[in-house]
Amino acid sequence: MPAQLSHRETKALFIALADEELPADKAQAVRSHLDGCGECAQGWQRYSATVLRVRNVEKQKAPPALASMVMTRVKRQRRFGLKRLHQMHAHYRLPVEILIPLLIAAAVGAFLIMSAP
Amino acid sequence: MSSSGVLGMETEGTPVSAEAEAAAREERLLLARLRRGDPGAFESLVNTHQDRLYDFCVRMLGDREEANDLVQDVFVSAHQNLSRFREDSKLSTWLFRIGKNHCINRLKYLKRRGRGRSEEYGEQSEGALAELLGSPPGPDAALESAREQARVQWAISQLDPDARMLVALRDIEGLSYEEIVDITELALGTVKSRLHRAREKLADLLGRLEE
Repeated sequence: MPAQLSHRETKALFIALADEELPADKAQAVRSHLDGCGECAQGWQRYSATVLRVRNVEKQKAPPALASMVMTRVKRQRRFGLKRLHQMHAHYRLPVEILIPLLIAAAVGAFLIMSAP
Repeated sequence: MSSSGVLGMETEGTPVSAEAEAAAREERLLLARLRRGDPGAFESLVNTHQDRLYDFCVRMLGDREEANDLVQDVFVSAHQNLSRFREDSKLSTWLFRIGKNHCINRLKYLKRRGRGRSEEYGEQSEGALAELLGSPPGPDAALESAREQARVQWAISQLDPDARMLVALRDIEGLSYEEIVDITELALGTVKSRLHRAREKLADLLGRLEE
């Protein structure tokens, strides 16, 4: 005869019961508790009905063009050997405080070279 | 309702079937072709896994356009990092792990930006739900199914990202706890207790919605 479960123990076993992972004796103990406890039985009904509703939700199919878009991106990458180049800005950032003086210096340098006799 | 067998799910811990062995063998062959750089193999990988990954990303992000972009990023990332794939898990598990990381990062980015690119994120799912629930009840099964989809998706979107991820992986994608532990890098006990709380919260949300 399995030991009587408390309300708390019963509720804690809902997840295993819903997943049908409880050993037979434990499952029997939970069922016995549910048969004699309206509150837990109601709780189990809500719990199991929710799990069932989520499991029955209609699956979303990938858009038809998704696979070809992936293959285009992969081929482009392979062809140009630009592996990860498009992500480089995320890894190597030049602070704007440095970038702007550099650009100005380059422009002034170019101007001086071009205006030299 | 009877307390037994209500969900009709396959139990875990069953001996490895011939079907599972054949699938594992097929995956090893696919992996060998992938490592040789066979473009047909990569296309086959995409075709096999795109629907489940897309569905997972839609549940996580609540936005089809964002999910579309993100699944592409997941496959491109997988292509780049194929050499790093250790064969201690299934390819699907590895792809879901990449997908999970991309989703978490994208959710952080979307949170900073305030909303997703398409109107679906946040407000739109509530708008669609209100519209569907507001329409007069009718015998139309398609309408009822759309209502049910909207209710469940709305409830899932109210969960925090970690809980949403566990519900999506376990109850929607039907993955085993072993695979979920591998994907989330959480302890089994943590996965189960968080999933239990998430299911209870979903029950509350759906109950309140129908009151």
